[in-house]
Amino acid sequence: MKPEKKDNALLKKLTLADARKRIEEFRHVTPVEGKAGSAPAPSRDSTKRSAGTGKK
Amino acid sequence: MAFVSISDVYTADPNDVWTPKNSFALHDRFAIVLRIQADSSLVSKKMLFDAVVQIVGPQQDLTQFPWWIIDSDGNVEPSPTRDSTWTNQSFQFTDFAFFVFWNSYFDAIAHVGNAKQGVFFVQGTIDVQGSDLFAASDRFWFKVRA
Repeated sequence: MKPEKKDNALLKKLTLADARKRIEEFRHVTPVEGKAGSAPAPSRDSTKRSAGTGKK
Repeated sequence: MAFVSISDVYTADPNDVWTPKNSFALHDRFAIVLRIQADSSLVSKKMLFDAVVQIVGPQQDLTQFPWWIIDSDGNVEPSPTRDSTWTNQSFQFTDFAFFVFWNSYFDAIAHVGNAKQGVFFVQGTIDVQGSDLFAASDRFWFKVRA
């Protein structure tokens, strides 16, 4: 998946001084919360592995 | 004596949390995994823990390219870690993986400047509620390419 055009601007590394000049590009970007899950460790004699079920 | 430990920390594809992965494209699915071992008493007593996982941008030279965010006042400020905090997690197993994941690495750090490509690391802690027990991980380095 290619980043959107707007993302390309966000990809550019900026010093803090540069960032202050270009603040509008980030002003409306909000954090995306992840999801969490847990799963038991696979038994040592098993090759089958489970990723468990994710939850918020 | 009751114990809890984090034996390993790493990044991974959320579809395979048992296999560490240390290089990601910006839009790859992304998970931070803590491998936790806990005393059986924590399971039987239905103890709860709080977990914090962090993605860390180690550059902190303000004249270079440290991670930064825009704070609630609209100011650009250094922000070297992207923290994800989870409270009231239960001990269901004595040996397990606790993982936090996003649909893409980009989602996790979309709001963080200078975090889209480079070499970074993850780390985490767990804090067992109502006890003296806690555990902290080592760090695990990974790479992100645009």
